[in-house]
Amino acid sequence: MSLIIALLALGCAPAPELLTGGQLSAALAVAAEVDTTRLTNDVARMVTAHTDDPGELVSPWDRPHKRRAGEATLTAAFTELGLTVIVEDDSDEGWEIHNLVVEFPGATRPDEVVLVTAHYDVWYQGADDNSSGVAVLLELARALADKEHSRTIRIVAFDAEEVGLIGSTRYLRRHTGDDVRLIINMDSVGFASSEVGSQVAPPGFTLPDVGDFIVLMANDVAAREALILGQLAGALPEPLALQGAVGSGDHRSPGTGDFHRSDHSEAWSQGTPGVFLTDTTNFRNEHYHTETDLPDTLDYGFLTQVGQLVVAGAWAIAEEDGE
Amino acid sequence: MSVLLWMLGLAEAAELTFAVDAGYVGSDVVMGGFGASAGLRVPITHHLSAYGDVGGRLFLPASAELGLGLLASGHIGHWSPGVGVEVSAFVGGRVQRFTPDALTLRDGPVLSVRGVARPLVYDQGTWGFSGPALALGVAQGGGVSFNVEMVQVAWCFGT
Repeated sequence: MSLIIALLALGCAPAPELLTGGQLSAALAVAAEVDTTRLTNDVARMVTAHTDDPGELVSPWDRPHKRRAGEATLTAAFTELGLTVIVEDDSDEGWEIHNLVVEFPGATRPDEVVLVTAHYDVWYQGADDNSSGVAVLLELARALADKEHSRTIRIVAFDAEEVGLIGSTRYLRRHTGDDVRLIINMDSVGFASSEVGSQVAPPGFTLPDVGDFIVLMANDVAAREALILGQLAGALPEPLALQGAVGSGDHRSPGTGDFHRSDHSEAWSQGTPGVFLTDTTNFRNEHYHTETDLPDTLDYGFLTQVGQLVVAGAWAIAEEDGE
Repeated sequence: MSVLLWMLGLAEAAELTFAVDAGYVGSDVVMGGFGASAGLRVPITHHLSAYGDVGGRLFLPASAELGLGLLASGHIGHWSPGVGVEVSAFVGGRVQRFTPDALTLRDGPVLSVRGVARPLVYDQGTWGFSGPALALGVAQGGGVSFNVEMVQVAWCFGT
């Protein structure tokens, strides 16, 4: 019996310290700048770029050149905001890889980086996957443009996610010396449904059967940051339903294989704290990787909430005190 | 530990067991996988025994399980089908769940209470084996906990 009591006591570890009221208010004030109309327009702009790309609409495996139209349009969108886009060329003989970087240097701790990422390549037109995530990157850039914060916030739009996480893997392996305090990666964050039965759970897990929530997955070294994002989701003007999961991120297995299906995977493998936000793609969205992944299938109120969460989360982590 | 010492010190006979199994506990904490375990089983009466075992799991993600239980058995020739109850503690890697309404992570072991059905136990005296066995119950924090044991072999020592 003493053994059982000891085990029960071990299960009651103190909760990590989350944001104070002041920190919460400051982050939510920045997040209030996220605008639904701009998100809608940015998704449409990226989808148009992918649609207008020359040639037949097929998968990126068949047309690797298709990614250049997305690059040009996203670069133009950042440039119109008065921002400088650094194109990190990680090409080799097999793949032309252009990762797009926009950096907002920290005022007091510039070497400490909060990385916010989404991939800009798509299958077909790619409204949810992943113009939705790219639109949030643009909203984050707009929100940060006239503000000073402690840590550096670096936006990276990754190339070639859909063909095997190539862009992010090459970028993160090139930047292993960076002091990344958190990576917030978005992949497909704009599709939601209020219909019962619209959500399916990955094997081994349970999820509500109404697909109106965002899923947040974090590796165990980002457990506290994951809870902070959960705290922020519940504190938004219109609280965002969120299902969070924290696990060890240094392995791939049948049960957690779905956790690695985007650009944060290499960061997790390196032990870098990282969270992954997704609407769960094929577990909810019937348009996933099809020609019908179009702007009118998205829920822009939901996307706005996700955008607010990401902006607030990046701001909160960039501003908090820490070692 | 005191339970194990009691099992070692007071029992007149004991069985050392080895099993290949699969376990799972969820849903606010998800852990489990395929693995193996080793343990001790000691008779208390002719029809009742106590056991403890330690197992390792891989794949979802790597974890360990410590179990303590009681098993009531009948005897039909060399066959000894049994039912019982066990308490198990999962430790190690796991996926922990949270929502904005419940911002907590369970850092320690996750306990389960399970009923046990062990229908195919063959006892040859100095050795025995058990075919597929099932333990099914509830986990601390909610959700189902189960363990499916494919095969267990036992070696008897003592009197």
